[in-house]
Amino acid sequence: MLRECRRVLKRDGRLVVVTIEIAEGLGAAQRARATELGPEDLGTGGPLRDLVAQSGFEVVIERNLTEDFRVSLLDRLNALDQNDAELRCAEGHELVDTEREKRANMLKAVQEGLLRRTALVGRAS
Amino acid sequence: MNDLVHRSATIRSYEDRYLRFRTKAGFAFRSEIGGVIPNGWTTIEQAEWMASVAAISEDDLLLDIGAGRGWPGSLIAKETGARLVSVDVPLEALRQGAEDLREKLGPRVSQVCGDGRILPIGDAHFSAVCQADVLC
Repeated sequence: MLRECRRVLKRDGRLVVVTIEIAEGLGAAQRARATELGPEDLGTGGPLRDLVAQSGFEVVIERNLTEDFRVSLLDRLNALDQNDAELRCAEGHELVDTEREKRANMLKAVQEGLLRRTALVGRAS
Repeated sequence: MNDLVHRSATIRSYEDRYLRFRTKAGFAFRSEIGGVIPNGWTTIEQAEWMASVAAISEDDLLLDIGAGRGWPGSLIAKETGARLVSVDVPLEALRQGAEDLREKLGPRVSQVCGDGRILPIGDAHFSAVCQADVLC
């Protein structure tokens, strides 16, 4: 997908990406746990910075948004709590339980240092 | 054949994300988390930052890949004045976002049903491309 972004961009055009990725420097077991706890379509191809650079971009800005992500996860879990009875009645127990489990797992992964959220700007070279 | 089956299952799962939390209680829940689908993680502050670093203005064309209902491309386009092409696979997402995008951007926005890995677009067409939580 990043190569396709490069193809449709003019020279010097900017790619602005925000994504959840596996934290760097983890062993195989930790990477497996990150994949298990993370979002369904979590990328496993390597650090975003490297993938962007390998796709024809010069990386000009990188930001770590993991703390924002942790706060968002807590907000979602709190909002699920506050609306629990109404949501269970209207949307069903299975959906509410699944959503809660997904978010709780992601929060656990962030707290264990397995997942990070990254923002990155690349310039088409 | 297996690829086709897997692909259609994936598209269905993307569509499903936009069909959840559509009840009154679901909308109340969504409004508490910023009105986004519960899978979206990009905050307003982050979208504003994306606009500030995209280096585009009203003469430019912005592509938002995996745009869903149009976020965060709509904010970036509104802040910068750029024209927006909003691309995603689930038709349900495009349908839900159409009215809001038209209200915010009028004729400066187009929606395209397509896969970011094989874009139906010529080379060197855009000044900026944005994507949020598409690679994860």
